[in-house]
Amino acid sequence: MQNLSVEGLGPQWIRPAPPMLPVLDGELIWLNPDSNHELLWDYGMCADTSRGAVVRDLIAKALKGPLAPAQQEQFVLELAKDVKLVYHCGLTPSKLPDLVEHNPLIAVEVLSKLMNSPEISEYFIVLVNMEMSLYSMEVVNRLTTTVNLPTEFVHMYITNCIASCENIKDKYMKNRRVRLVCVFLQSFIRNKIINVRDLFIEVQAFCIEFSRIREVAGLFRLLKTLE
Amino acid sequence: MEVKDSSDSSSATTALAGSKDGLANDEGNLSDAEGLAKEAAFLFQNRRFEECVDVLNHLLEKKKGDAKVLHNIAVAEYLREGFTDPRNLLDALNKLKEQSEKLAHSCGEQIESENSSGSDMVPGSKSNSASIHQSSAINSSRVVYAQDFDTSVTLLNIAIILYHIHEYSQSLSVLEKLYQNIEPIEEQIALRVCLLLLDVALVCEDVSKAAGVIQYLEKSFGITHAVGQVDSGCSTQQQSNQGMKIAITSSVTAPDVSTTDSSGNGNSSDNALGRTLTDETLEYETLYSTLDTVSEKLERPISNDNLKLSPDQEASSIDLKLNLHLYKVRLMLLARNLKAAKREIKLAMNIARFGDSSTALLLKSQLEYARGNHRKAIKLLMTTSNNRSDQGILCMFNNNMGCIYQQLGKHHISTLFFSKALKCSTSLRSEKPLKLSSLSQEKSLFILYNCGLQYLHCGKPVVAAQCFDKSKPIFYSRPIIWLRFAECCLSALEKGLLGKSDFSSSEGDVVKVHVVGSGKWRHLVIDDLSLTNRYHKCLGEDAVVIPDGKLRLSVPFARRCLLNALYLLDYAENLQSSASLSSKEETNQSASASAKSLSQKNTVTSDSKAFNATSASMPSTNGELKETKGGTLSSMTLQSSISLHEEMRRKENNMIRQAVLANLAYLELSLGNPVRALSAAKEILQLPDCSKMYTFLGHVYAAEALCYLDRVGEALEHLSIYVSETNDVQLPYSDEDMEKWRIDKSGDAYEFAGTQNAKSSEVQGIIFQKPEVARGALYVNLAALSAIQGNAEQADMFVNKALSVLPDNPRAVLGGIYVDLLLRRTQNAVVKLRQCRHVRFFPAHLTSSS
Repeated sequence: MQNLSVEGLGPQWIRPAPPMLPVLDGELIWLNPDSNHELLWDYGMCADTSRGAVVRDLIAKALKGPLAPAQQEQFVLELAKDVKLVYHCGLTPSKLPDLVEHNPLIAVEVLSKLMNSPEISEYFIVLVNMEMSLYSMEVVNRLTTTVNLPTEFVHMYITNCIASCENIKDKYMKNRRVRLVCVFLQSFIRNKIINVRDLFIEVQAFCIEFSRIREVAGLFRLLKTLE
Repeated sequence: MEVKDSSDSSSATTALAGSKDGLANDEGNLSDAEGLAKEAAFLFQNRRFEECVDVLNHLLEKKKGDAKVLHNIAVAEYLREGFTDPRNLLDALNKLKEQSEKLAHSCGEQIESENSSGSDMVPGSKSNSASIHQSSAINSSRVVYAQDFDTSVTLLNIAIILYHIHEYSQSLSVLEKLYQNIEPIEEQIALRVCLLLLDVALVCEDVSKAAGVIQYLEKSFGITHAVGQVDSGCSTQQQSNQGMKIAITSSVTAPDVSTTDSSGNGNSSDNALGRTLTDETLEYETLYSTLDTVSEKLERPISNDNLKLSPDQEASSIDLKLNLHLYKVRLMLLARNLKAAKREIKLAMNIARFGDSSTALLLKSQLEYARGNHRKAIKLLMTTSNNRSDQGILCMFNNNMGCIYQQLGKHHISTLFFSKALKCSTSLRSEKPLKLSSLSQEKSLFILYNCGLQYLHCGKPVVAAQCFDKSKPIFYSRPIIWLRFAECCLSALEKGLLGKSDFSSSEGDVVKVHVVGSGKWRHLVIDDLSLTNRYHKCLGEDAVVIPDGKLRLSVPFARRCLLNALYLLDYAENLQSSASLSSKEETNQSASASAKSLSQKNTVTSDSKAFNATSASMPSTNGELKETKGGTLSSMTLQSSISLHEEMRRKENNMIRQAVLANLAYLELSLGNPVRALSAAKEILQLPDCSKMYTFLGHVYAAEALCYLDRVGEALEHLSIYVSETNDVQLPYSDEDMEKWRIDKSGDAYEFAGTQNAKSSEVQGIIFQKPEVARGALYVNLAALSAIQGNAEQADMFVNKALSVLPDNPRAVLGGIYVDLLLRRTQNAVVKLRQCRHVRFFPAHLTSSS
């Protein structure tokens, strides 16, 4: 540029200045009154914690064997008195299978209260992976009537149920299990817990494989009506 | 049901009493401590802190080093001393928290081992009450452990203090930790956590977090809608859970699993009963959130309800309802979801009839302000400020008035209101007795930002920068404040406040002509304006030092600010893209629309909460869509608010980025760094949906930088975009483009047209140049490029066009003279000089500078 300049004058260039950004919507701070957040007293100080102990004790017993009806009732009452107690009752996901086998009703009670817990998915994983039994099915079935279970969990559980039928060698046991699964599935379908379309192929394959069993035929008919 | 309920509670109390007895026999010391604790709590509630601290110290002697006692002592002492030093308390609480966490950690393992041995000790004993008591005594020690190390109250108090001293991001991180594991936390404390988290998230403009919390609150506190009094500790808890209890007892005594489909027949099985109960509450929810004119229907479900509420509880549950509505309004206003906000505020106003509606009115005023109905907003604001003696309210009133008048373009009135607000705010600090809440009411930092913006737009960059500097503690993480700082510098530069006279554009407005010699030797020596295009002394000497601050306004400072802004913009973008990615995955997985709003940090929690969200919004077993309609509706509006907010954020950030880059390129050119200027300018041009005005600036800056780099050909490419085949230059942008940039509002801003003119007349330096002026600049620059390339004829053509558009622009005139001289038309040049109004002739006592 310089060497072209005529007697010291260079070519002229206009450099437009960047404009200021206009005030954005909501950039000006509008003030609203605050909620009053006062400092809190910790009421947990030297508090009576024996009530939690009763529940912990009952859970410990429930892991060993069936509780007597009176104990069950007491457990339910204690839990109902304090919603947060369930988080301090000493149950962990690894202990769940024992509880399911010995006290399915208590397990349902605890799990339905733990639905909001951050750990609930761990409990579900344990429940899906534990050995299939009448009790675990009972727990799942009852849970479906009290809470909304995540769909993936229900699907995975059903898949495991069906697989468990195929793995049983003993013929009598196998038939029993198949009939059980059938009733279980029918209840799910009737109550619209699952959408059959999501599991159609699996359920159909199950029906065809065990078509000689009467309950299976019933399930198959139900499937056909839904088609 | 009634009978069962009473039997429940009576048996519960006996059980409680029994266990207490057992405890008292074993550990008399403990019950003694319990008594003292109760006494202290009572004194605390009655605000008798002096005595309370005494009792607590007494208690501490019995339980040395007990974290909870120490915690309560710290809080009570702080209250006793009248909130003198919140930071001290903060330190104390933080220490206690660490201590408890350490202890909890070391005891965690111990508990595990004790647990296993403990369960061995009670082998299969049947319902023997003696053994229960015995074992409860054994267990009590470890239960005490588990609950003693619960730091939720301490953490919440830490978050509360941080909130009051305006350390919002820190408070947010503490609260998030609590919120992620909120279920086990006691109901009352959990509620407090949620409410504070909402406030903090809204201040931090984290819409999706706030929406998540609102949904959680609606789900866990809304449905059982019998939330106990917030004030009276844990005593109300028992009643508040009645709804749950009924459902649970019934499900246990339900006869058989196989009879689940019996819910249809009127067999009055307990199970069905439990369900209808929840149906009812759900329906109640639906009513609440769907109907606008619910007032009379609203009361029916409460009175019909099986859950007998004391008037107090009813009031506080209505309070919570109202608060939730108000939070939603705030969220929607933040997200600019104005239609939804309008609906929501109606609901809130209906409830607010029962009590204090000033907050609702303020929000309504804000809504009208956001919609551009400024007169209505002022009217509403006037009605809220009845209580003019309260400095806190007065401060809000003045500030909000300032906002409205700013939008109306009445900048002097606006400034007046803001400074009034500031005065009120600072007087709060000196108010006696000092309260913790007056700390948080002290909103100076927010008002200062408003002031800064106002001053900047009134052309007072130095004061503006001073205000921004003070408001930095809250806004430092937002890119916009850094852009505003840079704008302050540029504005100061333009006004000639920075550096010597050689840069200021006020000087650049005149062509200085020195008359040298006389008679036939007389020469005209013209100062070249191009020299002033450079900012020479960039080493910080030419900074304006802001009084009472360490801040120095200078061009290098402006550059640093712009780089800060760019960094923050990049950061926000990365955050957003990753968030939307993960939320997409989540929605695919759980197929739930509301899952998106929940926190994605902790996969476990977010998973389970997503499940909850699905369960809340999915039709339940009997497939009745109706009952969940309310829930889904509210979650849908929240959802749409979140996406609206994201969209708005994206747009705003895009605008900010364009401005930042343009400023940066301009500064780099001024600092003589063409390489950096070029890269900034190119970045502008690569931005997706960049406005035409900034594209124009990008091209011009890039061309100039390329000229400095001796790449004239490329420079010409940048400018020739605007040149048609017939050598005409089109307008680089239209008036509509400028309109679009200015107003991106919804249609109902009917007052806007009138205010437009007021705005542009009173405000300096905001608006873009008119398209014609921009075209003039293009002509001048094209002329320069043509001249450099030796095409004097073309240069002449461009220059003439430039002069026809910008006859008074000294640069255009000089350009014309330059071309005239190139073409040896000296006479023409002299004529041009004479005709130009912006020429100053100087007598020739100075030596020739050319």
